[in-house]
Amino acid sequence: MAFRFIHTADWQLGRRFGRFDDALSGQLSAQRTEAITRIARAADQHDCAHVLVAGDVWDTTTPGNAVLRQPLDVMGENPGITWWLLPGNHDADGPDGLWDRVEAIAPTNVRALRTAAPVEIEPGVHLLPAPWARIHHGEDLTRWMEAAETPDGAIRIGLAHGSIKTFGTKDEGRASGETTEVIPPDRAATARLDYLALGDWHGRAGINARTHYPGTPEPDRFKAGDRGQVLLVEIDGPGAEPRVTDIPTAQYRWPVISATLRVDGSDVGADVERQIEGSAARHTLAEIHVSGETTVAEWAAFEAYLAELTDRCAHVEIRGASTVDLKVVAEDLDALDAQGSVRAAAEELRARREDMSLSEADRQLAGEALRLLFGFAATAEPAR
Amino acid sequence: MRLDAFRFRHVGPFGAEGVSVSGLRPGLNVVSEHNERGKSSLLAALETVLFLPHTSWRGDAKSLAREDGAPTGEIDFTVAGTPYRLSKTFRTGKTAALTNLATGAVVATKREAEERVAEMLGFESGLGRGPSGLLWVRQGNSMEAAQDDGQVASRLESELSTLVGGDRARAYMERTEAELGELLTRTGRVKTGGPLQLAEDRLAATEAQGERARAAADQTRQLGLDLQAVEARISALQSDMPTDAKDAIERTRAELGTAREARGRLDALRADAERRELERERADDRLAAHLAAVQGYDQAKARRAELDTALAELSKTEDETQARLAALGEELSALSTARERLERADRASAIGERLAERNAALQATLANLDALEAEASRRADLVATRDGLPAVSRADLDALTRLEREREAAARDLAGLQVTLVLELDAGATATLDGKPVPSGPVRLSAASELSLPGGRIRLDVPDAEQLRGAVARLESEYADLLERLEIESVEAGEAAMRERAELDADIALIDRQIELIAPDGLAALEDARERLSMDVERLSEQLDGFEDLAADSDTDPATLMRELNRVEGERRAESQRAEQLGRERVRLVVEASTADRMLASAPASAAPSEREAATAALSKDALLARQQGEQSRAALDEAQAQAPTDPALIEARLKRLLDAQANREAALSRLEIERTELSARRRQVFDDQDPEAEAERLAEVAERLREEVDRHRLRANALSLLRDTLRSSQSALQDRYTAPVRAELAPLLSRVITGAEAELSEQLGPTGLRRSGGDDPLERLSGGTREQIAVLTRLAFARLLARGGQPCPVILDDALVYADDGRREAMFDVLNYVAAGSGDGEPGVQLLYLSCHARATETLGGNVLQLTPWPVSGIE
Repeated sequence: MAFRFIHTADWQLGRRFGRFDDALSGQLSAQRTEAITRIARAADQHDCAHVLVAGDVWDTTTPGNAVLRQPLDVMGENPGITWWLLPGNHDADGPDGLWDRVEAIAPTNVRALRTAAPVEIEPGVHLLPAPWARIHHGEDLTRWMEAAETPDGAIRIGLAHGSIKTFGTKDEGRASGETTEVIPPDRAATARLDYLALGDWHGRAGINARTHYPGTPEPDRFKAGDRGQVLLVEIDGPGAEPRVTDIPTAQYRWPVISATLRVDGSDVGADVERQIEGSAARHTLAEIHVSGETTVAEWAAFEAYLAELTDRCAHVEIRGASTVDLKVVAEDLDALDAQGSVRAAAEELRARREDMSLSEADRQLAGEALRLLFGFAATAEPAR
Repeated sequence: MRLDAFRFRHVGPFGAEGVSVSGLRPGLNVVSEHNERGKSSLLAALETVLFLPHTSWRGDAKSLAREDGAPTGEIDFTVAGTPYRLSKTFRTGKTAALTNLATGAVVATKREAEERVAEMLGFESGLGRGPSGLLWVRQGNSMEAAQDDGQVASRLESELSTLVGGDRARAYMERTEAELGELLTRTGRVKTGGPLQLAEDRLAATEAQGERARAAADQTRQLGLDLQAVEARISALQSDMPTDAKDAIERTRAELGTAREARGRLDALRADAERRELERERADDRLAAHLAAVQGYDQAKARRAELDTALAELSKTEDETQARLAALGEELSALSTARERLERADRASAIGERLAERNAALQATLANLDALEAEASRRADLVATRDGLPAVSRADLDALTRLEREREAAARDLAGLQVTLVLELDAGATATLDGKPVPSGPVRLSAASELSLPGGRIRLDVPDAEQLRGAVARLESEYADLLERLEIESVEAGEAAMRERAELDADIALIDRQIELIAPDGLAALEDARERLSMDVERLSEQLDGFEDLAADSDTDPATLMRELNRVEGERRAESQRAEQLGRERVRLVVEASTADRMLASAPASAAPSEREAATAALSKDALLARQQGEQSRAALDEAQAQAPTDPALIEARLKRLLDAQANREAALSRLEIERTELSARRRQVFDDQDPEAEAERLAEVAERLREEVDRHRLRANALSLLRDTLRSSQSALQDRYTAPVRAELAPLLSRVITGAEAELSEQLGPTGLRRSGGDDPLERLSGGTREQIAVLTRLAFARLLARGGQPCPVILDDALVYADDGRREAMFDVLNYVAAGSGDGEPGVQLLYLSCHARATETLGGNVLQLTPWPVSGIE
């Protein structure tokens, strides 16, 4: 019978969302703990006795007692599951004593992996953890796995937290092995691992057949294509290629939606709507990147749609509105004012927006002023 | 259009008799009537008949309503050279007709008539008030701006083909400014309480909170690091607590015991060596003392012998000296006696000389005393003689002479006043004069007299004679009194006495000078000198008696005697000093001899020659033995020291160090345990509260969101500012173009009233303010008079504009210059006449109707003065 377990990571319990109002922030924070229940349900449904959490269980090394205890209580409420928790970079096993606190109150089915040494979690199944002892360790914590001995015929599962390649540094994008901080993508092979369960990337990523990032079970940032899931991993035996299945767990979605406006009459709102997936709108935090060009009338309609969407969604952020090229046609100007000063002002603003001798900021400002003017016109009472 | 005449009945104050104004001309027409004549109703009636449909009776017309008949009116006017008459009857009548007065033909009636009039006057029938709002000023409304019903605007539009934007532009501008006003102040600063400021404040507060949260997170992290460090130190201390340390302590203690024993042995050897050294020193001292005693004994013995010899020589010298002293003493005694005799003889001689001198002085004093006595006696005689003479002074004599002269003068005057009365008495008859009988014959009368005669009296008054007689008597009396007081008989006698007295005084003075020469210090001093000299003579005589024993001894030379005496005295003194020196030498020798004797007496027996050899041998032997023993002891000590035993103090210090280190480690451990407990407790407390790191991250996100909000507000503010500025400049540019014709008309009129002023016009063509060299003044800041004048001038400008456009219209002003001062009113009158007249270069004149109830105020207005007259019923009604 195949060995089955749930691979998850980056719960980041206790994370708070300051960019949103308190109500939404509270819901988002609460959902991170609620996700544990959904993970337990998935483990139960798929007959998994083990949940491997590949680091960043907590968002910080100094969570308050409630943030520390409540998730542990949830895990304790599922005694049929053993929860294997690995310290990551957010919750490193350092001087803050987080993992001492965890071990002091953890239920018996919760195991903290604080030492880089093989642990037999089932007969014939050995876990090789690579815990973080401090935030900046400057080395590949999985290297030890190559030399780690386990009994012949044992299933070897590596559990680590970190990047396969670096981000946000001078080494960004370099292949692994060039820096010491990253995990080599072939670590599963070099360490004779049947599976390397990784954490750190909040998005789902399969590096190779034996190496996977599950992403966070409950997304916490705008990212295109991010859904929030855990991985069901099944290993038939030593050396067998694991079967990996995504199991959705997220309550909230954080899509990044690109809305390119065109003057050809295409319905951008419908495009956006498709990406929102209408029924889940109230659990959607959408970041809409607006670009392209549009007419005054279509812009007004699109703005109205965005206003309505904002009401429906948990949160909507509009980016790039000032970059949209407002195509002002003669009818727009006529609608404003047939001959008078308003028309002259609109034409002046339009000329400024198209004046390439002005800075980008000045041109955008002129566009914004023009949009305001048309906005006033659209909402003004009929001229006397 | 030009008004020619108008008439009304049953309108306002005008009843059945009606009112008629006719004879209006092109140019300025004036109606000046006092109040109550219905002047102001004329304008309302004109508006009503011209512009109100005959089927209507609303608005201002209601105030004109009367119950005595249907309101009726006729207005004669000329348009394009053709005279017309518009006739209307309202309410119950409801008729309207337009008649061509040139042909007498009715051009149109009812509504058509009204539409034709509206067409001719350029307004929309039934809707507006035509030119009335634009050009006519009712009483009390002189400051109101003109209201264009389209006449001017449409004319301008036709020329410019553009509009400023009207209400819509204003609405956009207002909204732009309103929304901008929520964000920024008028001066462009962030508005207090506005959303931008609130966002900025929230951002600042959040950033500050974030800083605090970050600091708290750092503190928590430091707490963990501190705790970790403390635990590491505890662990190190506990693991370092070696059994080695205890062993080292025990080993050191054993070493200390061994070292202390070695140190005891060494101390004993050192004490023995020191004792031996002491004994050796004592043996050496004893031998040295013996040898010194032997030497001392021998030296004392030799010295004693020397002293005896010296004492004997000294005694001899002393005897010789004493003999010389005795001889010199005798010689000196003899010389002293001789000297004493010489001294007494000198004293006797001196006393004798002083006695002779005193005696001579005494004799002279006695002679002076005798002379003095003789002079004193003579002086007393002269004084007695002088005091016996009358004491008459020159003043006294002058007084006598003056009295005598005055008496003689008075007597002469009296004699000159005498009257002689010849009395011839009858026989038997008696007469008395002043009571005394007088015989016949002449009677000299020199005073008031009363002559009694038989049968009566004759009283004779001589007043001056009486007075003179009194004066003579008084002077004689005074003269006699003075002689008596001076004790003289006459002036001559006084003169003699005075001379004799002077001579005597001179003699006395001479004697006084003589006496002063004899006894300058007075008689008493002279007598004292006599006494003193007598006593001196007596005392010196007695002294001289004591030297009677001195025989004349003139052989001895005093100088020789004194030289000899000095020589002997010197020799004697030198010899005495020598004797004293010898005495002192004797004492010294005796003392020294005594000392030598005591030394010899106190010398030990072993120093005696008999015993000294044996004693020296014994003591030398003792010293040698002591030296040998000392050297042995020192050798043993050096040997022991050469083995260099460890100093116990060193091992004690090491033991103390080890014990201290152990105690310190235990104390440190104890302190660290306390510190760990404290840090753990503090960290537990942190975990009871909010996670500071999570809070810091949350606040960073809040700050980011607020920064975006601030940026949004700023972008909006900037966009609104740009929109406002663009709208404003567009409006301004268009407005300038639009209002230019009106401003061109208004400018020359305005400058005639307010020099250098230029009016600002709104897009409604109404004035909004005044621009002068001193700056811009909005309309509301101007005085009532200026506003009124601008309002009237604007209407005149409109009228000129319309007239030039071929649409002339009369201007009607009903007491429109009530606020003007005299100067401005005169200037306005000039302008009214100017506008009414037009100009020679094609500028058409404007018809003006000026209504006023101030006859005096319009006296200087000029123009065509009209009268209100009744409107006869025989009109066209």
